[in-house]
Amino acid sequence: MNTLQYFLRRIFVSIIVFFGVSIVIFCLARLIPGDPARIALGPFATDEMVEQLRETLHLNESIFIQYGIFIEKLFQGDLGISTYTKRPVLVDIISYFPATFELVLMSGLLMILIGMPLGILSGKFKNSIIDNVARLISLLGVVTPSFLWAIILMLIFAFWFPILPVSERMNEALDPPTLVTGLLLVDSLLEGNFKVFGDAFLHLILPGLAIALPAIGNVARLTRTNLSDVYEKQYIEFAKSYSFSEYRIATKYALKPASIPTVTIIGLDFAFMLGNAFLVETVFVWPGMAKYGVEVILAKDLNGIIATALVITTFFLIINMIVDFVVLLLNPRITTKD
Amino acid sequence: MKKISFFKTILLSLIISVLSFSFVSAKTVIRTDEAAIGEADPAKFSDNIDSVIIFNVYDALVDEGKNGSGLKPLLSTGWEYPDPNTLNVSLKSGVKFHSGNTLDADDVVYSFNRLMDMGQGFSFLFGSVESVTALDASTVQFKTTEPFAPLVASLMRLAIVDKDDVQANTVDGNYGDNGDYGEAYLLSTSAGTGAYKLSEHDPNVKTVLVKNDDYFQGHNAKAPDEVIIKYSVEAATIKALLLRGEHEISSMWLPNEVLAALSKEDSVDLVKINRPGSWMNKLNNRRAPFDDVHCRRAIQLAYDYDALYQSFAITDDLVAGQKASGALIAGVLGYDPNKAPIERDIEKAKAEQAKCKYNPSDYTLDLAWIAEVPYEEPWALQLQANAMELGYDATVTGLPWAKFTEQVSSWENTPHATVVSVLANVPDPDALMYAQFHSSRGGTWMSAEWANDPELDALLEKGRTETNEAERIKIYQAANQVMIDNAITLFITDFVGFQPISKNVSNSDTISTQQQYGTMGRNLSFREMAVN
Repeated sequence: MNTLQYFLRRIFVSIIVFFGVSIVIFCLARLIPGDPARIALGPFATDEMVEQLRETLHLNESIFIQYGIFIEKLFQGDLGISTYTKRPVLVDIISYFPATFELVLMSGLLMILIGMPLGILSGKFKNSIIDNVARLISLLGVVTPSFLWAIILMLIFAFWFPILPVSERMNEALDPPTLVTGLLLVDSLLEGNFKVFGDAFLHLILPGLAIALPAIGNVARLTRTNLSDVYEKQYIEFAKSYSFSEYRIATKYALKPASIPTVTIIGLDFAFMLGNAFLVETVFVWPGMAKYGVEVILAKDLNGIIATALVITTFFLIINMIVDFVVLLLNPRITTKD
Repeated sequence: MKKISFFKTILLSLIISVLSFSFVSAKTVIRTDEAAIGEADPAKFSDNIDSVIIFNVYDALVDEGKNGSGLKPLLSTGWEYPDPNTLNVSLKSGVKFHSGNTLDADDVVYSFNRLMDMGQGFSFLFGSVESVTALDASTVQFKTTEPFAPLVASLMRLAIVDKDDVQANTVDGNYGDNGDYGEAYLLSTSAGTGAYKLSEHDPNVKTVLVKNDDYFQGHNAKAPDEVIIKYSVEAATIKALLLRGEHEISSMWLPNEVLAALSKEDSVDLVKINRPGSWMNKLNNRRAPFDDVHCRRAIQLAYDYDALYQSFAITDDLVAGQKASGALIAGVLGYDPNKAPIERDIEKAKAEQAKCKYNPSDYTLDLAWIAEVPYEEPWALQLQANAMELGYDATVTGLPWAKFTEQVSSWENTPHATVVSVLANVPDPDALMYAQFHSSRGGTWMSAEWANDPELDALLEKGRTETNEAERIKIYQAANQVMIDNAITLFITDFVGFQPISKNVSNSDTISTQQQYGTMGRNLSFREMAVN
């Protein structure tokens, strides 16, 4: 099987997983207590209106028919109306997904830029003071949940040293750039608006760091362990005996194999962040999809729940494929046959 | 070289932004927050923040006067009853909608029909209205099926929309010839006459209002040019933003510990606001043992109101609650501020329990509070402790709102007691009492008592049809006493809130606006406020 066939097969399997998840979410969403129509219309709506909405949402049909209607509309690009925001769910997803995606990109970047160097330093200078400090930082990162980091960061940067913004994606006084991708950093650069770019970047730092810190700890610990293991391999000793430079040994012979498990974890962490950003988004008033996802669950907005879950599922599947591809590049010994 | 200069530019931008990210703008702004979601459609609004939006963007025919001074004309010049079943309302002339169209009677008729056809929001207030017609361009006639005294007060909740503007933006929908009745259009646009226009509206994130410079009543000279309402912001974040001068008016739902911390800050004032609402432990009157009036009276007398009251203390001086004296609450017609609160008397409670036909040791009471509002749990725990004093066993459960509203639809599934807060929608006791305590209204979250008291029913029905205000006050005060005597429900606390307000907007105009209106959502009248 060549690489192309392998990825085509992965895409096919991902589509099956996507529909499998859609069935599970579709059924689970209907197990949440409460009548979605009554919740949507409020306590004062007449019974007739509630019944009419139930009809509109096809809630009186069997679950099989409901799922069939959902899939049919999905293929038409129609995710239905959100009973929570009263808008088309697609509009909600388009509004909220870029905010979370940009935040997760920032967190992912911080995770790689801080986590890997921390792990490399730790692994290279094993059992030294540098290693101990790096391990302490990693441990704190791993054991402290993101929402607590959010509060700690807010305490530091909102109260003690109020130098960074603590709410929303950009300063309310600035005019947002023309919407192209929904990612403020990209859109502002496309427009050449560096003021908005700088402002949006600053707004990303604290929430991005709050989400990234646990993952940074994870990545650093894993990189350290793998790097330590690799440094004990015979071929590293062999390279040393050839008087290769430390830099060459580290970058060419040690880091590449050591980073394969880390890349897998980075991919998974990256995907997890998308769904787990809820509390951080709440603390930093971030208008993102993770917060929306939890709120639609509380409001039993069936269309909103399914759409959010499917977006996250798709993201997971794409990230998994990218990770597999990167791993193939990093280790030629792994073949598509494996 | 190019790369270096690119990065230099980015770095410079960042530095400039760091130095200037604090709010710098020529326009004046008030930023406030509330729990999501914000509803901007005048036929769908029902909650506190919805009301804030609608009161600022739309106008009704009547308005609430300040300091409990009764109702006053708003888009109308006055009203009269040619007969007990007919109300004629005369409209002000020359009032302009945001579109520039002029208000006339057709707009009122259209707004009413839109509200009733859509059947949501405050449509339930107008169940007795048989028809609404435009007698001429400036007179509207409301016909009711029976004399209906609360109608004028209810008109506060009939927000008038611009018929021509909405009809021009109607698409296909569920309402026959009326298409979608402009539902999609009014999701993000305003079609009212109000002091502010809707500039941006994301019901889950924020709503931005901008000043309507052509508003017929004008604005305070220092009224904000823009209002930003943010949804579901964490208490810790609100505190940070208030202290940084990036937020002006907080919601009233901050935890007491945050309020206590803010009370020590120089840059924030805590403004006391009496709300037309109360917290109750709603007793299920149809389920044993509370279908026996003596068992209800026993639990009413056993409840330790003083112990609970202490839990509302923010500081030694600030207490976020007021002991209840029944169903009539501040801001509502008939409220008597001198009426003594209900008090605990455990000896009398035990005597009442002895008269009850049920043996308390045979019952395990299921006591519920709404899981989304942890603040309510102490109310239920207090009831559990006091019920155990009488010999009951009792369990306390946090019920998700959705599950509660489902359970309450049958009396058999409604908990023995549920902690619920209720706010007055209009300053008339009918809207508050009939919907909760008339025997025909059981089965909603408001009427978890499943009340079934013929004497109370008779008084509530009489109150609806009596048009003399002095007589109505007597009727509702009598109904209030019946409720206490027969322990229909446990009135625990009248709602008193403390709203943190930044010194940027803390002044007599803003505070008096906050304090002098009673109806839910009416107090945040931004056109009357001032930015320092």
